[in-house]
Amino acid sequence: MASLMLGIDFSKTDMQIGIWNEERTCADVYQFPEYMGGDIIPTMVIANEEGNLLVAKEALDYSMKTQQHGVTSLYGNLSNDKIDLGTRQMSVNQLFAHYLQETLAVIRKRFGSASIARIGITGERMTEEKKHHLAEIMESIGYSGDKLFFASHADTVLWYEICESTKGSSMTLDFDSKGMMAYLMNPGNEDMDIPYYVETIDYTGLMPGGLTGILDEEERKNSFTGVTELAIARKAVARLYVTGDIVDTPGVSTILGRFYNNGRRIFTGRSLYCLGACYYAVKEKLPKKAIGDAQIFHDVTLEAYEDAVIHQVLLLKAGTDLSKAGAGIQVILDDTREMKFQITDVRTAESINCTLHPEEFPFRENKTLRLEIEARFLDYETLVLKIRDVGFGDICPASYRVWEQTVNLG
Amino acid sequence: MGKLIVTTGNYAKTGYLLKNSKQNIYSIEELCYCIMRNPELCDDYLYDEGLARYIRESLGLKERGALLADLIKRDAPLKDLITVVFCSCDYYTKEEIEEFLQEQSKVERSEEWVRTKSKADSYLTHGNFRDAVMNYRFLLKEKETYGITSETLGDIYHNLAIALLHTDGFGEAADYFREAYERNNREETLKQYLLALRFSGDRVMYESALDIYQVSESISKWLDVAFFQTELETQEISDFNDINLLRQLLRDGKINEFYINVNRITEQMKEQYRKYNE
Repeated sequence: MASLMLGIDFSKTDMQIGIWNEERTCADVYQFPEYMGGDIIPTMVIANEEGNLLVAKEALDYSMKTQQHGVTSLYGNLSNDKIDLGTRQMSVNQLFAHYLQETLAVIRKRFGSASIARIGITGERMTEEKKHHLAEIMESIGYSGDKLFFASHADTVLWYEICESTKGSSMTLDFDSKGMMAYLMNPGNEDMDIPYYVETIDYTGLMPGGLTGILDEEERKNSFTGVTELAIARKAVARLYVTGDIVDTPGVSTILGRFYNNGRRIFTGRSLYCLGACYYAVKEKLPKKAIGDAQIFHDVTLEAYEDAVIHQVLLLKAGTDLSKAGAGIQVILDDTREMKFQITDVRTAESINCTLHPEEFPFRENKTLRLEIEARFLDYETLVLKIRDVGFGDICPASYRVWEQTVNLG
Repeated sequence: MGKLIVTTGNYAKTGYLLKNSKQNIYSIEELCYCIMRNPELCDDYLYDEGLARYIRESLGLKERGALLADLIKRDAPLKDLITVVFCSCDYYTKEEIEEFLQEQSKVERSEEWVRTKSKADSYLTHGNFRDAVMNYRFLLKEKETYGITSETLGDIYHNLAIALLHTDGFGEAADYFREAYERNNREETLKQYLLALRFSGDRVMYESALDIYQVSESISKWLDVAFFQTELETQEISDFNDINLLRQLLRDGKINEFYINVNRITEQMKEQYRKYNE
């Protein structure tokens, strides 16, 4: 029996599914021409005034037109309301579980009753709450947590680009009803130990409501051109991916033509994220050093004596998830009151030094002042260094005094 | 050059009481510190299998703990045990460890009574008075075998007397202070002798000692001040304890007991006032 790997992209209104066959040689996006009477699998539903169920973009358009609240979306706002399906009522979770179950059954059947080994799941931002919710739905249809691998859109771009062995940097522009998100993928440099990394730039503020909210076609095209120009201005982008609702707008390809430049390649479509999610599910590890979305870009070290040598002791490593980017060590001061930190941005390999010499340390005999030193990132550019006197046992009890310094790396 | 030393192993939640030193440790660095500060005591606890287990389990230094346990089992020389502990962390540099071990070798080559006295002195410093008394008594018993000088004997008597102040009381301590003073002739010993006599309540002996040793006026004044201060401190501690007792009774809602104690303390205060005005 064949074994499949899937990548599911939960976009705002619908989902795309990428499938890897057993040889793991290629990824493809699966289409569902006969499913649910259309070629989409919805992630958004709404009941109209007549009580009919509208799905996907229809649901979005209807909600925008009528300003109706209570839109139920797998990826966005969730409600506990029951959806009336005529013959029976279902909760939102049950409904989406039903969609997924049916879809996955179709896929398995198409591949000769194949089993599904691993599923990469992606969405714009993969918060813990979203992961938990999606995992719950997947588990309700028999796909346990150990088969599921969650990644944000930014991470899937990174995985896709590295696994496809592309050259140079790329930019992905994702236009949806909220605005535009850009993902700039920067290639690493193995010789200089610079990792691949992706930067997320949120352009939502530039066009609230997104391009699809602009009814005038000419205005919409102008706006699209302007934002795209702004996003790629002064960036050596070898590939431009355009995705999201905008790809359905007539004339987009013509507009994009003006961005062909110095061999730049341009792609439009909706498959990038689900293919990236496929790679995410298939590969255990990236073949190259990379820093993903929601991970810090800095190594934080402290000059200290360990294993009989003075060296830079690593406190935080670039690539650590921001939510987990806090670490501490304990040191004993020996004829010094200074703490020398080095913070290295791995994107540029540039370091800055930061020396702390807190005043009013308790007076103690040499080598009996033990301190706990903690480094913690509040966001990608804000590092907090915290020092706490934890004493030297009963020999010199702790004062528990705390010294804190914030380092802005922006 | 100054440096920050990265600590090794866990910082234990519960301390380990080093045998005979009255010192709790929570980390391997603290153990190193204790060995370096009081090397004469370390053979008391380094051969303790409980310490090896503590290093292995509570401090998380599995290999070091196991190695120490193995050396203890084989009754290895103390120097080996010290080296294992020192090399478990970065608290002391290689040079500091070598210097210490050289010093230890010298101590090991010194006469037995010197080592015993050094150990007894350490017990005294760390408040282990019972073991201090035992070691000083042993030295006095064997004083002729060892050929200890009269002045050093005086110091031994003096320290023994101090230890006895904490274990047996002023009477016996005073006797040893006298023995000490007769050998070392030190003013400090004389002061302690007279103070012990005064606290023992033997007024006759005290007055007689003042005559015998022709105590100067300055020493006499010092004795008055020291005696008065000690009395005052004792009184203050007693008042403080009384207040704590009253607070505790109120907290526990023991109202009857509270008033009984208030009356008792008031009566005591009245009595003191009367004595003061006599």
